Amino acid sequence: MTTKTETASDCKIVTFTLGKQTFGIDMGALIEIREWDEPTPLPNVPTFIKGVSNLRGNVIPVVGLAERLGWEPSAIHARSCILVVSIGGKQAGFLVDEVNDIVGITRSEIQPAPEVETIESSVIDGLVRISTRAKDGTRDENGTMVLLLDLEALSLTKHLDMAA
Amino acid sequence: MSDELDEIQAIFFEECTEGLTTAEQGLSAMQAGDVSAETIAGVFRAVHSIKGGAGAFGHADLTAFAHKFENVLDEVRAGKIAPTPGVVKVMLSSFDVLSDHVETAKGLAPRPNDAAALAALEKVLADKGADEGGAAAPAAPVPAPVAVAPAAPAEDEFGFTPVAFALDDFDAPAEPAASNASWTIRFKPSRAALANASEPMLLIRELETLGATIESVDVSDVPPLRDLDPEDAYFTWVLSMPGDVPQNDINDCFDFVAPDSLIEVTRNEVEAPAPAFIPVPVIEAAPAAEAATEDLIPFVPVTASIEDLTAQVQQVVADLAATPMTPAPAPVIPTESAAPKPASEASQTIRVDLSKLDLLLNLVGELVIRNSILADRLSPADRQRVELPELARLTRQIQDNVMSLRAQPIKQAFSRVPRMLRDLSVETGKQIELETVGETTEVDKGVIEKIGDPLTHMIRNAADHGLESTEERIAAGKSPAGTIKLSAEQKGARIFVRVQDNGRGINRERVKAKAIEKGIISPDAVLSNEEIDQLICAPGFSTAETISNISGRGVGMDVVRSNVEALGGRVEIHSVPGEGTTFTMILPLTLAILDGMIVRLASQRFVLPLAHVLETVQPEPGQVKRTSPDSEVIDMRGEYVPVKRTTEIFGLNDDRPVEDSLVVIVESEHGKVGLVVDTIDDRREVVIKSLDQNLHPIRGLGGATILGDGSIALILDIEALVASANRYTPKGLAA
Amino acid sequence: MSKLILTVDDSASMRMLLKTSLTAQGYRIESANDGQHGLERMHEVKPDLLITDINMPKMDGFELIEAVRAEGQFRGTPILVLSTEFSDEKKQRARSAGATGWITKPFEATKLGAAIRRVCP
Repeated sequence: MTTKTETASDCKIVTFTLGKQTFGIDMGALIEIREWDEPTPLPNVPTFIKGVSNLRGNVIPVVGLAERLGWEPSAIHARSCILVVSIGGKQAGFLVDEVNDIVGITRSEIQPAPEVETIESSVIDGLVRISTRAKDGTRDENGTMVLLLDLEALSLTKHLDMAA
Repeated sequence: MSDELDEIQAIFFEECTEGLTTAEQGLSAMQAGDVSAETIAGVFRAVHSIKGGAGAFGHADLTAFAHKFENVLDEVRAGKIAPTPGVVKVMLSSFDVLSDHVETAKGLAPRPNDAAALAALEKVLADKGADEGGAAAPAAPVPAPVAVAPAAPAEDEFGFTPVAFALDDFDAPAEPAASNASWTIRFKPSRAALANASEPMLLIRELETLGATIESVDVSDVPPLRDLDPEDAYFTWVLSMPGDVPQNDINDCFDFVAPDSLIEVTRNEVEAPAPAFIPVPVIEAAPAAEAATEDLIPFVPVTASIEDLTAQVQQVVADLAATPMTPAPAPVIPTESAAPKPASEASQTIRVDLSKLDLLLNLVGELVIRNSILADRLSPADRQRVELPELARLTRQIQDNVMSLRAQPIKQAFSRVPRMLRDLSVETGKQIELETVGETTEVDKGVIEKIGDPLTHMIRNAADHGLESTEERIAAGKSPAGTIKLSAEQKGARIFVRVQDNGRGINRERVKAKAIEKGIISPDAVLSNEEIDQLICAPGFSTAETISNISGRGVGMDVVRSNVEALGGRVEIHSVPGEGTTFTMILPLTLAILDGMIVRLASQRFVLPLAHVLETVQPEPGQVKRTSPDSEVIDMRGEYVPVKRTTEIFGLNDDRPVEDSLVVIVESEHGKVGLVVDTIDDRREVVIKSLDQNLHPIRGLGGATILGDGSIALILDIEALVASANRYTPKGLAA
Repeated sequence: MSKLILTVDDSASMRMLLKTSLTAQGYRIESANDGQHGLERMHEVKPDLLITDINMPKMDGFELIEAVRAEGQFRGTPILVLSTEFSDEKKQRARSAGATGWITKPFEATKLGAAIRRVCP
């Protein structure tokens, strides 16, 4: 079986872990990866919005991605990070357990999104298998299934945009 | 068009916008009865300027229409047409068409159909003629709408009928017969011409460049020396000019001085045999002045010079790019902190790129923050040193001035309304009158830009739903025409923009039913009148009925409200059934910098806008009383002010007994509230960061700010706090 | 030294067009945005030629020309009217006020140049 890293790719994704699942997002939307920092809480917002943080002078909302997907809140630990992304011109940070890798994939490899019981289907864009490197450098030939997230669906203001 | 000319045209378009605004105001005033000479002259000048520039930039349709419109205005200005309501109405419709033509010239809209408007204008002109007994003599020659307002016919001045030969005639290879024709010119300038600094020799020199030769100078009129008047002219020049020079060129030369002077231009034909090879001159039929006037534009020189001109303009562009295009004005920043006069009234103005202003504003914001941090770092003793207060004062002055640069009269935001109402009036078939108050109120430019859409929607609402039809109004004993009153007022740190109609008021039964139907409230909810009114702004309330075709989108009141909240403001609704409804947008005066009090609640810092803070008190035992399980009040010298623990708003942990806390009394339009805080850090100016940038407006917050240490402090919206607290004001208090 | 022309017109775009055209023909330009301002500038810069529009707020072209001609020092200064109007009435009015010549807008550079040469040596 050819490994993905050997074929030409037309798309780069950032993979990260949340709970037991590996997700990926389009690298093009990624602005920055930051260490976890307690955000300033906001009133009158859904619980998955943990608050706002200062990103180089900009006030950006921080989202507990696990909660957004309907899971138990993530526990904060040493490797927790915030992925700062841009969605439709607005920036937001998503709390994840661990950032894994940047991987090149080809669009043709993306399979349609499966029905995952525990996840709202509209946020999943598709599914792709990638090979992964273990810490000891060995390659896992079977690879990992990565759920690709649809960032647009995760936008915090899409309800406002539709009304416009 | 070259870049250079593009830039100048861009300025022309701005002038058009200003001119249209002036004209519209003047016409509205005339409609309201003000037909003073000044008002009419203002409208005339505005349309005249637009016509002039339009011609210069080659916008044929616009020029033609403006010209017709201007004719009518000229007659009104001269008192030859009375500005009756009917005439004013025609002028208003023409104004609308003129605006449309301007939009077309800018390339923003397709060409309007101006046939009806032109006909109406023609009729006004014709009727005037009928009034004068049928001999309709337009004051100025009205050319047929041609591409360029043509140069004036000059034949009149000499009393000669134009001898219109096509210039083609003389392009034939030099036929000796043709070249025998010539002109003889006799020219004696007058005293009057000389008094106007006319220099006969310059005119003669120009004729010489066209090919003339001085044949003789008649000095028979020169008096004896003692009678000689140095300011009079006594010479008569006789010149001959080759016959191939168009008469118009000669006419042009003398054009202006002719009426005062003696000028004779005679053509000398030489009898020529009629050989077969002499081309038959093609005489262009020139019965009307129009055709002749077009000939005044000689074609050969034009071609050569346009290329020449282009080359020279390109050369000059570099120079011009380095130098300011407009004269340097008096300093834009006034030394007193008086608000700057609106651009149209100030004697000298300069056009500034808005992005430069925004950059400046950002830098000033940074300056303000750095100032605060500096103050923080100094010891209390050092803070008193003269340099720091001076620095703070200077920074404040710069800040005030930069903020005021962005301040503009709200008139701009109101400018679309009259036209909108005219269209709505036609659409709905209702008679609608507009009243505007407080247009000169100055607000931040950002506010002006963002209230446009909400304002449009509220006005449309008022016209569509608020006002009744003429029949209904009469049946209800009201005046047949409904009034929409648009007003702007500054109170303290807030701007109040109101749209008020004297229509039927909000039908609360229907609103409540609709809200229940849409699941916004439960069927058994008990709501106050104000709460029912506010349901109009609830998300999901608006339906296809309220989709306006002005914006073409489903703009509902909920989007209006969130737009306003994004600016840090709020929307209030006040309605009396049968009498009317008022929508009020309350907006902050300046968007970016806030004088704030930093307070701490449950170890989180918040900002209270200082403008709303009345006083701070450390409550005595018993000063704070509980009036119900949900509410407390504080006794402030006999006045009972509701107390709000911010835990209720923010869901924070707050176990501190109130006696260990401070209560900050804040005030808004609607009353006072005592906010319980842990400590007060200090007073500081903060730069407001809108939550809207990356998130969305949040009720209770007026934005956020980044403090000197990089942490975020949320800015509290006092209006919202007061409003929510006062919903539960106790009716009585047990002693 | 090239000739100095003072242009008076309440339209900034027209002033700019004139400046572009006239500078290209070798003249130096000063400008003013209404009659009042124009009169002040006349005193300040003492141009070789005044070119003015007619319809302006505060003080119109005719008034400006009359005011200029009333002063001895400007008696010999040529004055050109630059206007979209062209009626005989208006031209006569301009003549009575003291104008030396008239150019109709929209102008072509060559005609403008010729008109200037006719009044300004």
